[in-house]
This record gives sequence, structure tokens and C-alpha cells, in this order.
Amino acid sequence: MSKNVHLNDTTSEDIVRFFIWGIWRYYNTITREEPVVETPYLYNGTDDFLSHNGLIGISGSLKGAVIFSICPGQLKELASYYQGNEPESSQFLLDLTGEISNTISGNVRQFLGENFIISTPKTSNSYAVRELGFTSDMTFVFPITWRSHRSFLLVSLIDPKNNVSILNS
Amino acid sequence: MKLLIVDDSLMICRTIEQTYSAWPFTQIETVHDGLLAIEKFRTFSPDVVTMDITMPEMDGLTALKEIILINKSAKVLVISALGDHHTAIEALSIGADQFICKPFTYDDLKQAMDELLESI
Repeated sequence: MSKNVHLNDTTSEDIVRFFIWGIWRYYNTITREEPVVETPYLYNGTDDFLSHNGLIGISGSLKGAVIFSICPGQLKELASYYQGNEPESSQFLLDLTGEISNTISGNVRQFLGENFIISTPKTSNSYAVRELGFTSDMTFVFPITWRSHRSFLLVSLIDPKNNVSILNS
Repeated sequence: MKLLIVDDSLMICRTIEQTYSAWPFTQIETVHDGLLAIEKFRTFSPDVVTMDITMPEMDGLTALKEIILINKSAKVLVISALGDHHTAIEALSIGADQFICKPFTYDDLKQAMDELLESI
């Protein structure tokens, strides 16, 4: 995958592949250990996020949000690749969560182009998915396993021209 | 030599700071948005700037344009998660000297900075 695609030609399978590639690239570049990204599934409306969450708003050619959700155990291991042996603060762990969500979302622009506009990250350790109002028909969950840790990426995108999901078409 | 790090991520700032010993910088300043980057560029007069793009208050490309207006010879390494070719080309056309895409390795950062420093 190395060239931009036009949205009109982009299938939901393409979008799924782009985000899986983004997840894989992040972990593999930072840790040299590949994550396992399981088959994405439609958000079922009941899952809650893990303790640390980074949210990126999407605008432009697509509209929606990308959220990376991760537990502190995995975050501390990832932080060690940035900070060495320095003790990690809760502020740094939350900052890293936002940086991961920003990196994965930004990297996807390699395929979706510059009109896939991403916001600066918002971070929280208290999201409940249900409060954010994502609907199951337009939201995909990408389960991630790295070492023994679980995390997930939630991607909710619509085509603003006709207000339909880009992932479930 | 002086280095100005511009990134809204504390983690990325820390990573670049920790790598500085590979280079001949003796003073380092860090700011977290584009507006502060312009102010700090005027007062700190860095030899090199590392610049993120997606930041609050003012994005890095806009800040880069202002910095080039202040000093058209400014040496800027753009470090961004935005992976599309258009953004990289735009950054270089505005006046950035190097562009690397997040996530980056130590070797990616060192190579880009070494090449930039060779041009000074």
C-alpha cells in the first residue's frame, strides 16, 4: 500500500486495512514486536473503554472519530521505549495515549489523503463508550493484542455527503 | 548550538530531548503549540527547530511559514504523524529542511538531524 486512494474508489475493506496497517506500523516501529490485530467487529453498544483513552476528531472527506483505548500496564511498557528507565507519571501516560491515537490516525492519511483531517488528541481516563453516542451500524472495534496486553481502536466514520457509514457499506 | 522543540506531545518532546546528546546542542527549549513556537523562535534564536504539525492554537505548517518569514535560512525538521505525500511536500516547499513521519525510531531521527546539521 503506497499510493493515495480516491474516496469514491475506497471500500470499507480498504478502510479496515488502512487502520490495521496503522496499528501494525505503530507497534512494530516503536517496539519491533508485531501486534496481533483481530478481525474488527461492529461495536455492539455495550463495551466500555479501558482506563486510558485518546480521541481524534475526523473532518473533511469523512466525519467521525478514532479512539485508542489502552490499559496502564501496556502503556507503561510502551512508555519505556520513549522514556528509558525514567518513572512514568500519569500525565505522561495519558499524553502517550493521545500520541498513539494521533499517530495511527495521521498515518492513515497516506492512503486517504490530506482531506482526511484529524484534530489534536483529547485524552481521558474516564470515557464510557455509551456516553459518546456511537452507533453500532457505523462503528468498528479493532481488538489489539501486544505481548499479553489488550487494547483496542474504535473507528466511527461516515461519508458526510450522504450521512452513511463508510465502514459498513 | 540551540535547539527548539515544538510538539504538543510531552512524550515526543522528552524523546527528542533525550536524544540531544547525539548532537552538538548546548541549549534546548520546548514549546507545545505553533503560536508559542513563533514567539520562542524570535527570543531564543535557535539554530535548529523540530516542528510538529497537528497542534493546538496554531498548526505547525502555519508556524513554519511565519518562522521562514522571520529567517528564511531557518533550519527546520518537521516531525509529524501526517503520512500523506501532500503534507510532506508542502512542508518542504514552505522551507522545511527535513521531514520524518511518526512513529519514528532513534535511527530515523538521528539520520534526519545529522543530514540537517551537515547543511549548517
